[in-house]
Amino acid sequence: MKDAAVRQLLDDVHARPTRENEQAVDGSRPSFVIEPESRKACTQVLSLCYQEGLAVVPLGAGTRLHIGNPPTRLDVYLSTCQLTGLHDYQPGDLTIGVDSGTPLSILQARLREENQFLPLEPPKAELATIGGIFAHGEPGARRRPGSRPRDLLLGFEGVLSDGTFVKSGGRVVKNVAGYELTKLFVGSAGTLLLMTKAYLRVRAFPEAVCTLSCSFGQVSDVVEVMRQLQRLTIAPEATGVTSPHFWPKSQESSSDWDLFLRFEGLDDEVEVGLVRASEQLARFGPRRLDGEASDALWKRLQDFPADGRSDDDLGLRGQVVPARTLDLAEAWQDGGPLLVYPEGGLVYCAVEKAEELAELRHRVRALGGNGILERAPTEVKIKEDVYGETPGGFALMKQIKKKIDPTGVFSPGRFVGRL
Amino acid sequence: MLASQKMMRDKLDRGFLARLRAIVEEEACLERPEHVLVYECDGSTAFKATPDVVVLPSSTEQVAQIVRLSAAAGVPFVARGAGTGLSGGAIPSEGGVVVAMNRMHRQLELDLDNRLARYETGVVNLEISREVATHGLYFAPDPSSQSACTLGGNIAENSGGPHCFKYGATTAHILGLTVVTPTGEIVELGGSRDSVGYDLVGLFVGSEGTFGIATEALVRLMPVPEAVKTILAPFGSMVSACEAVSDIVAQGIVPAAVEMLDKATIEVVEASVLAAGYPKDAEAVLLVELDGAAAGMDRMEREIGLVCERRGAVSFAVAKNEEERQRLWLGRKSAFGAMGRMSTDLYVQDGVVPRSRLPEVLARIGEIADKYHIRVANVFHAGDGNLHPCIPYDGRNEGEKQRVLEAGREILELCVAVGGSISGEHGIGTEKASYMNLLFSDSDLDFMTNIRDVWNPGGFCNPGKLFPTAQGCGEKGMLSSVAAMPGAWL
Repeated sequence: MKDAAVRQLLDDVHARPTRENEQAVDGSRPSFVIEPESRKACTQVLSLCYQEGLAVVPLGAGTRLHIGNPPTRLDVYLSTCQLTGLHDYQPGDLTIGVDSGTPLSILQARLREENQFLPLEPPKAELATIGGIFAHGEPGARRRPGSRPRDLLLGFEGVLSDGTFVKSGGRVVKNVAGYELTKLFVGSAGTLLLMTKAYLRVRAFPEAVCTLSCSFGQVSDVVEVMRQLQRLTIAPEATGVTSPHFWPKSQESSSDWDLFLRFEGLDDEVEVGLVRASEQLARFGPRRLDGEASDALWKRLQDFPADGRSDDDLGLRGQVVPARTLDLAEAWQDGGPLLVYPEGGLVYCAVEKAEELAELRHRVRALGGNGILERAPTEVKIKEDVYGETPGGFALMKQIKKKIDPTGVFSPGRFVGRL
Repeated sequence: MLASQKMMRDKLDRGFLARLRAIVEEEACLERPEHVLVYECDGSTAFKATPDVVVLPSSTEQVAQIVRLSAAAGVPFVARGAGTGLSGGAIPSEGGVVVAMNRMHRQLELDLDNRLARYETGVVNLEISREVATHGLYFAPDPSSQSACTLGGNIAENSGGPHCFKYGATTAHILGLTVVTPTGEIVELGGSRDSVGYDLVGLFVGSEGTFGIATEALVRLMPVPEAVKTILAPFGSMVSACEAVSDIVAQGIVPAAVEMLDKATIEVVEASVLAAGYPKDAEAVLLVELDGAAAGMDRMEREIGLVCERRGAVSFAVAKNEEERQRLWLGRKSAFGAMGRMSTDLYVQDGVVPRSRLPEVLARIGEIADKYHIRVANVFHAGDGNLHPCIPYDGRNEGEKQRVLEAGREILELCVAVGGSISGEHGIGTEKASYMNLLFSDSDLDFMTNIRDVWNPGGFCNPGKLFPTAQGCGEKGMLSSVAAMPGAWL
């Protein structure tokens, strides 16, 4: 790494030393940052890293960089910040090509001109890049088939660890030619390949969007109401629940649990949806949030998992079957503020005390679920696998990693089971 | 019979069959030529290969034993559902064992709270919706063959169907799988909650039977929509009908399905017992289904009506009752069957183009038909740009099948050239293995075969599918010379 020949090679690909203010991964910073300007440059960089045995962490905006086990090696941040641009946008086809370093906000702004959008709401959406969003593949508030990251990535171009350029999928909305490697990429968290370009399915902007909010003294009331709401024939597009400590004391809320239902669609559909849901919620005094108020609310929920910047902040993500989501919320309610997505079986907890992490993870396991340590001190991560469980098919995952990235160029040690 | 197949049969003769029979019940092991003959092809009769033996297991454990036995003996094996596939995906290209999953069709779990059900994969697609209908739920993937095709086949092919325009193909509805891997291990992938690690369920769906045999699947159930409207709009020209489709989608209307039939298809459907009442003098018929909330649906119908009028629709009608609606759909879903009237054989092609390119592509397909002196009937998923040019032919005539296949290839080249794909829902299988180079470079294909080799290290699980046979033996450079045509998607 330090020898002059490698230095020279790194100079050739415009590597620069890491700056002091650059984000660290579990306390360590790589020696170099490389910001390739083209797909070709990416293949050159990765060939070099492969040959020289350098460990690479692909980097978008770094909004979710803290998620993962401590890297076993880290030499280079491979930043996609120069890979930006939109391609082949055919509004009539509802598809678009995007370079992977493009921030989601840039994409959404262009789509908005055609009254279209990408139905994804990741934390820090104003910064998060397309590459990072799909690499993490977090589902967020929308859970219907067709609204999750895995449903929206039609195809990609990318570079493997040895510098080989590959592509998969396509740019049409329906395609079964070859294996579904897009699914393999989504959620692979920078451990398999560097995506350079994505082809995405987009959607027409809904005619109307409106949120209904309601407060409850106890989580058991929310459970009861959710059961009734499941019978609604006009289902909300997104459902979120926050615990009493979610909102800062200065804000309107409250010592209550809050439920938020967002309806989207045609004007009349949304109106009827709101009326029917309001009937079910009548005794809890439902409130209606339109336009900016609704947008601001969901933005706040969406950013919650990315809150905090210091290494001392703690964050846990619980995964349970949807019907048990509120049981988990109840089991975790004294652990810290909670954001709950009941339809997806997801609970985010901003844990207040490190010594409680083990107990909170134990409680989610008792409900048949799993707890991911999204944010934790490195010493905790060294002891406990961040991802919690060993998933079904782990032996296959291990072999896939070994086959695709045999020398461990990409994020070694960071993934599930410290792959 | 190929020399390798002959060797295979010899191998099977030496005790292999006795061991296979010891795994399943006596009558669940078919060896006589007249019994195995029906397993020689799938829904596409253009590709045939006869199995040495067909075995019908009744449990995951039996499947695992069959796979272990076959893998240890070096005998190829391939899973089969109802055999309705159209790309030769379930045929035993290299002989060996066909594992017919039809005896494994039980519902194992119904979880109404989470709207999930676990089924054995030999269950017929439509059976799932029938069984859960009393709870107001259904299974969304609806390939045209849904009254016969199995869940396992849908998983292997990532099957679509008219309604995947709105609800996504099979992959969007499978949450977990029990898989017997090609080495005979039983693994549980995914499940009823989010999990961690690579999305192996997503990777398995659409792997065309080359990653192992899925024996159980956890499927998502959807609530039956509150209201449904099915609209029939005949047009005087195919181009206008296609433009109407683009206009509808551009307005932000998301129908559940947008289907189209051309004149040749209309004529053959209307002449059959499946006559749906499509106007015989129309050049194209557009079938649009709306589903979801009743509120707003009338307005959507009016807006679609206006678009169709503007684009010159001859008429515009909404099915008045469920019976009429079912009849409209039966005509569409049985179109391939009705084409049996046209000739002894039928080649159903499957390609995808960006929706906005449909008019020009359809015109070019007409030119290709003229060039090869063939007839082409088009029936397709217009909303997705997923074409199904159907080519009737008589395989007994010298050279006719070859001409049809060549025309098929030219159609696919055209799809690729405008930025589309060589398969939207039927899969690559045997049929299109040699066309993969139209879309993918050698590196792309190596990436895929590397993943396959992880699951299927011995190569005994459904060999000879998906990839050009020359892949990896020096000839691929020749084949790939046709790849990377101008306008190809990447």
